[in-house]
Amino acid sequence: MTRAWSLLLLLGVAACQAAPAPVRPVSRAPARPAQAVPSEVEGAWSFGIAGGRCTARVAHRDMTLGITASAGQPANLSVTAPGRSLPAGRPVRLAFRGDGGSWELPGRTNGRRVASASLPPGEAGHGRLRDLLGGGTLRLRGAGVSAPALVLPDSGVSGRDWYACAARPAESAPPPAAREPGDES
Amino acid sequence: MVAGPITIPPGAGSAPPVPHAAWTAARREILAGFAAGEHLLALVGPPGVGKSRLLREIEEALRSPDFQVDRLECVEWTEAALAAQVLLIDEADRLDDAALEQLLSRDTGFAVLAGLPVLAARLGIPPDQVVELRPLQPADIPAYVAARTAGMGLEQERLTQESVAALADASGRIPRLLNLLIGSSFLMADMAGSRAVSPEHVREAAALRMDMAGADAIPDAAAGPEPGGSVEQAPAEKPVLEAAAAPLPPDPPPAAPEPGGAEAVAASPRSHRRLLAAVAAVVIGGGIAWVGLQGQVERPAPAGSRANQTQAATLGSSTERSGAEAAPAPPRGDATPDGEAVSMPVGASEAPAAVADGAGRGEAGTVPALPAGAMVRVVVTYPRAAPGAAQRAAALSSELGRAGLAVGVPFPIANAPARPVLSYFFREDRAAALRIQHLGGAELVGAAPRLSPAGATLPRPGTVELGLPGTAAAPESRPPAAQEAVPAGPEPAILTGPAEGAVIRWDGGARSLTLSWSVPGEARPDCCFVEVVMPGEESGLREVFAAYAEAGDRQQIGIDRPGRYAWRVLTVSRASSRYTASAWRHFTVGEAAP
Repeated sequence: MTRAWSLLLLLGVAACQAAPAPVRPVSRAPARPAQAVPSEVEGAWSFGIAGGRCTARVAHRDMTLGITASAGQPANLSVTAPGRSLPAGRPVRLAFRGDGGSWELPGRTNGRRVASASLPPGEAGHGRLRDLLGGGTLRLRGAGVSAPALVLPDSGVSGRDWYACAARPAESAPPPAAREPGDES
Repeated sequence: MVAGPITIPPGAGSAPPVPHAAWTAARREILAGFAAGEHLLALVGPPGVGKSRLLREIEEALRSPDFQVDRLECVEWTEAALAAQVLLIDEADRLDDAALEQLLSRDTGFAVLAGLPVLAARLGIPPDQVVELRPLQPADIPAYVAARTAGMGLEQERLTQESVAALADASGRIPRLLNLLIGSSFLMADMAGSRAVSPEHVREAAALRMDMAGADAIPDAAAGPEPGGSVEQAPAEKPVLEAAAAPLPPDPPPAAPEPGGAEAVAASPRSHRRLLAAVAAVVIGGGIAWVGLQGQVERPAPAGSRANQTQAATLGSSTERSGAEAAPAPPRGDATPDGEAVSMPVGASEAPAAVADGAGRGEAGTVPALPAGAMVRVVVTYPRAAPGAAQRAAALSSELGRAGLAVGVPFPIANAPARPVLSYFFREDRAAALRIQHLGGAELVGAAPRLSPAGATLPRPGTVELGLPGTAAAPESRPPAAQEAVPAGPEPAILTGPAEGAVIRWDGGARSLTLSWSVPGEARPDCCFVEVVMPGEESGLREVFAAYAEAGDRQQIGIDRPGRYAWRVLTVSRASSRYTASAWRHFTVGEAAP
């Protein structure tokens, strides 16, 4: 009997409870469509000489290739992909495909997620430099890499002019533009 | 001792012109008159202000294979000269009335008559046909003096601001007098055993000159050119300063001792001063004579025959230049084979006169002159797959390199032209392209230089591209295109920092430095190409920085060694395919004082 009264009491207490609000579907702001990651972005070339080194850049906001060359030294490539996923401290490969040829370079990212690689010394490196200047597509490959491919336009006469600086031999320390007083450059 | 005045040919012994505001304005005015179809202009100014120089500059600017440009002095005047389409006459104030009448009656072609201010009155032409070449403006003096001292191989650091001001005062801002006073002031300092060239040395040099010439030889600094006023002098009465600068025989006989001997000389300041004057005259005169001889060797013949024009179009004969200013429109009825403007200023893209002649390169102990125009760079391309093309390109590059041009490694490309193509990208570089065509010989005969679109990436000013075809092919003969008006070039940048002659402390490590300037109108990021060079005694100009500026009014550069630097900004207009070079400025990065 007591059990029956207890049960009734519990039922009464339960009946006094506010009715639970009807369950409504959660209203959420429509999810933003995930920003489309372009598979390719096209950069723009710029060239310069700074501190006796020849520098070139193919820049796009999502990916930038930098080239630095000094007399008689192999040119260095560096790739940054701001806002994209480049692993830190991992081996990567820089793959280029263009009119002049297709090749890959081993490289590595540093702690700041900048990938770098060196072109081979001598004519082989010069040839790859010419390939880059002639235009093509550069891809970064490796575990954890999600950067788009960087389309390099033909660098035009500006690039061909800059190549003279980048490919100069070691003994001509100043750029060929100013080798000696007789030069017009 | 130096006796009476010794006259020297005008311009002889003087260095290449350093563009300054008044010079640039007069040059632009003349070229604008040419473009506007004027038949006659008078170029007037006081003696020594640079009229003859400017006339040569105009000759260079207007030189074209398509019409005759004659430059002559009044003594060379004959009626036959009237046949020239472009006629430039120096010292025209000495022509008789009949000759002036004949020139005035010409209703075709273009003539510039240069002379003293009285010329304008004699011609009786309206003021808008008179171009006045004024003395240096005060603001231009420091840069001018810096360029001159560098050109003379003198250390500008030895000059203080006060001594530069004294030079300006003593010279009346007349370039010829200023040039001579710079040299003689250094000499005075050397003779006094002083490293610094003080205002006193300047005044002493000026006083010596006055001693020799008489006080009236110094023009009134403030007056400038007076129209028909006191500066009107017969040629025989040229400023006596020229006497001190006169070329002397190579081995002048020793000066006869003054009565009283050395003691008397030492006892008399006046005599001592005269002795100094004699020494100064010998030294300066010898130097000027040497420079003058160089100038005579390099200077093209005054008469503008086709042969002379061709010869003058070679690098070896390029002479005084100035910055890149206005390029005029082609004369009516004349066009190059490719129909582009024929009258491009050549100074913009040419080597400095002192180094233009290959034989004159690398003079021991000289600091290479800084070019007034852009530094010309030749890019040679050839078809990648064509057999033998690389060898032809290499041979041509070598040939151009031997002529003193900066030629890059030949560049193989996929899409080569069917015929040789010679492209330039700024109108100022047309003359350089013409020279390259000339030097290219058979490979380039008929390959008329053409102004090409810059493409996505703006080339560096001074770039000329030579595209070789796969096989040797006759250049394309293109019909003349319709003439077009040549748009105005951009205004030169005004360099603001660091100040001319600034000394920047060097602490042993690499440091950065911000160069700043202003350009009229809105500053665009791609407006300005910045060049920083380090003149070296042995290796020529070392390029420290060269690139389009990241901002329209400043650029940060890295400095990794102490030394003396020169920098400038070339304002570039993609729309008009033109550029204008500012004057060079200098700064020194020095070791910190212990």
